[in-house]
Amino acid sequence: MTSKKKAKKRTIFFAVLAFLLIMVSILAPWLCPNDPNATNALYMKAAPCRQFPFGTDSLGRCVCSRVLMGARTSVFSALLLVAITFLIGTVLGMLCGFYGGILDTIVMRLADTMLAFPQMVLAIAVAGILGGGMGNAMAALGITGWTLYARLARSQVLAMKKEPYILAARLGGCSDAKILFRHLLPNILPPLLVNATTQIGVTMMGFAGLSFLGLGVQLPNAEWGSMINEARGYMQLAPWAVLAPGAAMVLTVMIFNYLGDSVQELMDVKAK
Amino acid sequence: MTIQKVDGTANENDEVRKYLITAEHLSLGYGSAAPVVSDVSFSIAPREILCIVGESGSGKSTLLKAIMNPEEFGVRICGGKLFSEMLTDEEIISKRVTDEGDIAKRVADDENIGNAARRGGNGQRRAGNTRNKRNNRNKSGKEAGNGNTGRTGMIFQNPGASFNPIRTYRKQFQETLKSNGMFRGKETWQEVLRMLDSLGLADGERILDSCPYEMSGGMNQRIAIALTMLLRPRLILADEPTSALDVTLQEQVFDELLRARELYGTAILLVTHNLGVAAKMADRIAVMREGRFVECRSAEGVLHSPEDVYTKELLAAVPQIPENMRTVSPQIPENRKTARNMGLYSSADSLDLQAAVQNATKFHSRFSGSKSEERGFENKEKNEGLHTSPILDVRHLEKIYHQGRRNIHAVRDISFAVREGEFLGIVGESGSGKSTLLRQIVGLEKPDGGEILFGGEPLAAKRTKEDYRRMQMIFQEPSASFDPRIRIGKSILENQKNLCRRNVWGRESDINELLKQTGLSAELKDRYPSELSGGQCQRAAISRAIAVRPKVLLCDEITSALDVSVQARIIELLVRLVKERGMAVVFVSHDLALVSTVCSHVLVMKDGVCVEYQETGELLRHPQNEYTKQLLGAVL
Amino acid sequence: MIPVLLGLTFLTFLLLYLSPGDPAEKKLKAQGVAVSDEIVEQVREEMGLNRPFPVQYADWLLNALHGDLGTSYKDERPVAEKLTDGMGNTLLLSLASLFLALFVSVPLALYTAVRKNRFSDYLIRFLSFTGNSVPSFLLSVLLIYFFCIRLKWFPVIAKGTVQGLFLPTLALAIPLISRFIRQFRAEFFEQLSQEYVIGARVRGVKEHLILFCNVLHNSMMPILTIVGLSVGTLMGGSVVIETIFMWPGLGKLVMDSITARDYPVIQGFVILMAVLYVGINLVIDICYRVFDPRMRDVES
Repeated sequence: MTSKKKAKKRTIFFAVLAFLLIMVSILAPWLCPNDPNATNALYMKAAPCRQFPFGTDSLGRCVCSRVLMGARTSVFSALLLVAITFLIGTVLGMLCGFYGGILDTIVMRLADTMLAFPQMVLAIAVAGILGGGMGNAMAALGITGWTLYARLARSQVLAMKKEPYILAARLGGCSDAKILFRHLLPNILPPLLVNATTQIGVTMMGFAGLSFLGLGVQLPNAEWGSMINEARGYMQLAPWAVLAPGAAMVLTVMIFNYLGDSVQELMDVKAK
Repeated sequence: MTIQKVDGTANENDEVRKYLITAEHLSLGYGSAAPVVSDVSFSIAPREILCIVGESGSGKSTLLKAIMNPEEFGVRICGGKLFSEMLTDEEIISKRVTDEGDIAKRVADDENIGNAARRGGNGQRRAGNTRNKRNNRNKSGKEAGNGNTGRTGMIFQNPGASFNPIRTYRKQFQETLKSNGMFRGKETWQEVLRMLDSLGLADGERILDSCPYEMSGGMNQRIAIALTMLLRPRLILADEPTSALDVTLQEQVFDELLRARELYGTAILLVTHNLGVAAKMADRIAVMREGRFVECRSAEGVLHSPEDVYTKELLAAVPQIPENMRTVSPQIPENRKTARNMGLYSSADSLDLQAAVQNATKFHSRFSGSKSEERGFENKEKNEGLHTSPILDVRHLEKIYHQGRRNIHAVRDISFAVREGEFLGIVGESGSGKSTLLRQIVGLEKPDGGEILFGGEPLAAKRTKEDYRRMQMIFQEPSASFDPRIRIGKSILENQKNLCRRNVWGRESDINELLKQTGLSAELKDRYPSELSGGQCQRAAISRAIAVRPKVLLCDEITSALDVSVQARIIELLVRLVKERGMAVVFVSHDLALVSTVCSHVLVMKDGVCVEYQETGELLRHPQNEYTKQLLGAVL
Repeated sequence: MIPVLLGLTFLTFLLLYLSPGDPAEKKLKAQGVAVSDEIVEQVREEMGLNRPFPVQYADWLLNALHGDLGTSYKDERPVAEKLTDGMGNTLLLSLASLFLALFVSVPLALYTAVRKNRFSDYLIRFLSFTGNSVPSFLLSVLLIYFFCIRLKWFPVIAKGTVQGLFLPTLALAIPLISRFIRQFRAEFFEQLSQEYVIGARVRGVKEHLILFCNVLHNSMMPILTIVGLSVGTLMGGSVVIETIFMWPGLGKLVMDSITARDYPVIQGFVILMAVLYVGINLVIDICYRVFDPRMRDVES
């Protein structure tokens, strides 16, 4: 009982934090103290001060404003990509598990092939060949991302479809669609959702990694990964230009990871 | 501690010394929760078999865990005393190991009892705590086995549980014996082989070199007993040792245990939910309910003249083959007979069971009415020449599963027919193909051959809604047969909405009425399946099935997940409903006794083949097939 | 296995085929030749780009089977040769990190699984969250900042020396360690709660025998699987880390090729990584059979 309450509290706490983060990223343009893209030759590599809370970078741009705008790119693209891959993967996986046959063979072979590539290696190659840009980076990460949900949904459906209550629903005259979406989906959803939540942080790091390598967001748009890459050259002179986006990144990923973890814990407790 | 303290306690000690374990007003619980077991007193003498019988949740397993090792299982002793002769002193281990002589051993044992008793007599002895503290202290020392080795052995319910599935028996035997300081190379292996042989496991070398996963559950259980016996325990604790096994295997395990007692004088504390098992094994029976002993007396006493109301109920609920139909008497193991001759049993005749069953006539009288009616009806029918054709006619049904290159013939040429108002029983052990058969009939799996006629019309492989409506099925696991996220009432209505036109079946769409018919109160319809007990769920499953007014009801082991008393009530309900509505029922079960009490015909299946298909009485009186005889013999 | 490899080569080939721009033009640009329609057409003919797609694929696949992955646009060297040059360094780095990670995480995981208390719980939580939330590029940058710039213990540029191996190894190993500890610990927990452990304890088998002969042995297969899956992370991570530390391995090669738009090298790299990854997991499958006799029986 107590552990359940604890898990619930934790989940709510991190959900609120994640919500705040999303709000911040939505409101970023209004929260910025300075224009994130405005260069300022007078304040190059300036230390944090009242005007520039996190200092400035080598071009004199406000690091704080750029971090805030970077939140927008990171959080939104990660959420969007996870949502898309989740939807595609889950539906494909459920159909494969439920009907089996030729569709199952083709989709699963495809997934196997995708899984034969280490995710980041493929993403780097795809982004490298297609060229930079957020759209290409998303395609690069999404090309393998859906397999996770497809495999999980499929295995869940395969296990669940032998359960007496599904057999009973079939004997009760339920159509396939009804069995799939009314009986199966709600019951396989929890583990899939848990996975999607934990995947948010991973996706964010993937995006940042690509941007760091110069394969994600294109200049002059702000993104944490590319900011770190830019600033690491003069880290001796202006460590804040690396540390601020780095801290923002770690904090954000941590919040989403903790959220995923506590959702998982909540599900485990409930299952007992 | 204070050994020569008071003379007065000496007598008490002598009293305790006679027993291996004595519990006085013992209460047990987990954590800070209320006790699960309260005020339980009993004792076990050497060579004695005490059976603790109770339904699920009665606290019997907790009691066992407390005796074995409370720390390991997290059991807390909340009150009362537990005296046991379980080993605590290191000196005694060494003594037992060095002194091979029987006498020396016995002396050591006696000393041990004395020690334990003295310690116990001194006050609140917490067996597990003392022992564990000692162990912790000795961890650095050379001989720190972690339990009451050599004194008490334990056999678990799940036969695979005792062994690491992917390590050879040889390695596991070796590490067990080594840890207990009993391993002396070649000599020991000879002893091991002798032990295996004496327990009827020939070919010991081959067994030792194989892994547990390669062996059947029954075999594993027997090897576990052998290993336990090698440690020369004076007491074996057995927690439902056979309930995961098929009847014919159960026999072997019981024989093993009895032989162990016979050869080594081991006492056995057997925990079971099955009164039949208790009747077969026990010298004394303790009936447990809600954490208390309602009765703890000699087996004969409990079975012949139960004093407590609950015991009587329990006895009445055990399905029994009607006596007038019975010719094959239950097998009595040879060694048990010998034991009896040796005067270890006070009275008892093999048929004391049957006598006990006379108390259980209540169970039969509940059903006899309907049954004789059915039989009469059937005879009449035969005489008049078949004027009603069977509602369900299954002809030469086949099912083959392809597993890699192997083909598994799950169902082979099965034919039978059922008429309205008739019960057909299908009996078989797990893996005999009986569930597959039912699923084929109901349309969940496609047959690979043969045909199914419903009311004379062959059924297509692709079933229509009307086909589903006319045939409903009830599953084994009660709570798993409802969607965990949908309220019971909604689940029941969903079927009805899907399958029936509302105006036709309007009257029954009243969910309250439906629930009432199956003995459930109306408020349960707003609950989720996890909030109902197994019995309630099964009743709800029945109401879901009858809500669409099926002509045929297929029951797949519908009571095997339930306690006996609940089982009896569910069967009673089923019989009543069938009588009221004139459905035909195909009743699948592994329990021949249960089937014989309700069904007019019985089909016995083994490995997908029908070995015998007979009228019930005929089958019981004159079983033709060897396997049927075996099954009958195994009925307790 | 074979369909996977076929699909894998096909996808990689497709990737290049779909890449924007004309390969002949790209090749010329990479070499810094002035582009005119005539020259492009000539190079197209040379490269066989005027043939239909399936023919090109079959031709390429046939060559790839012989170890010929084409030639670099930039310097006309065979791709296979360039890849083998970098492979040694990458293997060294990856293996060093993998062993470091295993060496640290197996004992720690076992310890925290057996001694289940507050301290070990916190340790695990901390490790797994920092490890999972700090991206490897940030970690490397921070390591450089502290060890090279602040403390001046190591040179900033590794250049493939033993001394330079230390930091990249650490940067690759830390995320692995945090993941391993958590997953291994869960596995040990799982094994320790198995009924056979209770059975053995009840029979008085000594704790160290239970732990080292039974629990560790039975956890071997899941551990191997986890390791196999993490090889992918290791490969992706090495690209980033080699770029940061200027470690002359495959990762740096591929990043340089991306900058130079040297597509055949990128393609060769992806193929090599995928084949390696599949190969390693195949080896692990075989190891399974060694550790778990049940698997052998399923096959035969």
